[in-house]
Amino acid sequence: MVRGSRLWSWLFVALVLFYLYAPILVIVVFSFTTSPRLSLPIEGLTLDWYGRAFADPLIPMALKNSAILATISAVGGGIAGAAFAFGLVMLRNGRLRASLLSISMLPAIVPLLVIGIALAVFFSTIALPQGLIGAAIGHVLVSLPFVILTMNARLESFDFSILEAARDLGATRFQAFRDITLPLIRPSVVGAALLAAALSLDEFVVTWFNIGSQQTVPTLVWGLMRRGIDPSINAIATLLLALLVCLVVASNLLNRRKS
Amino acid sequence: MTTQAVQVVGLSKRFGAMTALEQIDFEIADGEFVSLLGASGCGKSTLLRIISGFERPSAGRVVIYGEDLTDRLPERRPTNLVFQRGALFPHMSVRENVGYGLRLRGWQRTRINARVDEMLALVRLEELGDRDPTQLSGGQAQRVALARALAAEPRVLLLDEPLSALDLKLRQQMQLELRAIQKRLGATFVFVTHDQTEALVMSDRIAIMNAGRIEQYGTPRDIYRRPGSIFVSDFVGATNLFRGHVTQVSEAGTTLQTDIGSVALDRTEPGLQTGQRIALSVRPEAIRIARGAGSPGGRQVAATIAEIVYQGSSIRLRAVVADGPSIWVECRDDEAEGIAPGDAVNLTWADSAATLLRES
Repeated sequence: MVRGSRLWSWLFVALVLFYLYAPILVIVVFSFTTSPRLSLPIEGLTLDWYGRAFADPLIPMALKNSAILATISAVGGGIAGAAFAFGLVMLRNGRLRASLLSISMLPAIVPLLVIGIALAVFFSTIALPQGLIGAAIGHVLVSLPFVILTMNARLESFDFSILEAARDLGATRFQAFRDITLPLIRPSVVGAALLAAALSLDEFVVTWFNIGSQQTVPTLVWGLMRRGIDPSINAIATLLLALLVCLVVASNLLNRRKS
Repeated sequence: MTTQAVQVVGLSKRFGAMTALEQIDFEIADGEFVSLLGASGCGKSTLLRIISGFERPSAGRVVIYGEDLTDRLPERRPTNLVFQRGALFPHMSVRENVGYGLRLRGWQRTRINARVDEMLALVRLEELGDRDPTQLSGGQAQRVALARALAAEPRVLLLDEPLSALDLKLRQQMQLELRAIQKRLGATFVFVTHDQTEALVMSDRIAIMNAGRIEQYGTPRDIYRRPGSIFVSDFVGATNLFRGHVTQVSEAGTTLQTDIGSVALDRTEPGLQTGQRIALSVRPEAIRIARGAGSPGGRQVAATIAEIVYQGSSIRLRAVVADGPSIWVECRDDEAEGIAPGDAVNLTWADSAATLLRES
């Protein structure tokens, strides 16, 4: 009986995993097949779709824009989020600290649609033309809560008495930051920045409302799909997937490393 | 006149509505080992943090070797602090930890290395220089913290309960080691602790702190033998407190009416008045125990043994006075041979062993 119920549990786990990953698997597999339609059996394997994807002049441009936005998110979100989280854990007032943390999490809960529209309206009020700048501001905004959350988790275990120890031994505030704080939190900051880059790379809604005539990879793919499914979209999605997996795995590894 | 290493003048510290320190005045001489002893929340750590520069006093001055340093930043004070849990830099080796302060001073590498070797030898950790702090035991980590703080030759070394996280055996060993190091260097140490035994064992002088004030400042023997207040006599060591009032004061002595009956003392103290509320403090080990009812009156107290606690090297007996309080007696095992609960006994003590304390 026990054996049977365990079998059922495993079957259920397998089912959930299949549900989670089957669509992704399909895209990856069909980005390498010769048939232009998603059909079985697979006739042959090819890298043609990847070549086709890069032949389209729009795609390298969208990739460039995505890379720019991801970099701005990583640097801007990483630095601002880390500084904010650092200030947060130094607060002595526990209730204030908890409420500030909750408030900073709010953008992660507010629907992206609301954020996207609000930003678009705001930018038009201050007469900022739609484009990369507005999109970049949106991306940093969207990634900040996640950066703050990961940094906060890491800093909760940070022993602040070692900063006092450094001061006591003759270090100025700056020297203590340079010699002690920075080397200890750098892996976490970089990890959080990679997470911000990953969030930026597949951000669609806020981008769509603010980027104007420019394209990022997600908005471009969306545009291409309105003309019909082309296997070169599978190729782009697979590349994006590989990049995102790398970023998230690197981010996790850096955050898990003990300091 | 001896040089004063630390002078604290009229120091007060308030955190919002809470007063952590109230009008503290005291001095520490050059080369002295002084303990600040008190329960948690008495202000001892705050006082240490003010001397080290991490807290600013609300009022008063801190003078170190004649120089007023009240407004000086911690990194520019000639003091170093040993933190409660070591506070070693986790990303630096033991050697780098010890040499950090010297590196900040711009010392040459060879000079730093020599000094680090010297410090590691002082704390007997020559072998562990290349370890990471995470690979050290609690006692080793505290030794490294001590070496790091001493490396820069502070004029005053401040220690914030550095032994409190260690187990008893190691703590006792480290107490003696710390004391030996302090003697060898001739340095001034200010040691914060809540452990009275630790303070008694290590210090030249002890400042007993209570509710933001210094209750008494004196040598361990002074504090133990002549506590200045009921709080001190109760806080340092175990004691029996007999409360009551003065019934008679004369040239010949003083008579008291206490909760163990009438007690005569062969001395009087200045300012003592009839009717004044007092407490008489007698240490358990100062009380002699004799079997039998004995003669009534005099300076004997008749009591009945209620409880015997075996402690190995000594035993503690709880004796109960008729209609009165319990009296704790501590003696060697063989001194109480054959005494059992329920026995009637006589308790006596020398007048000089009884301390007269005024109720505030």
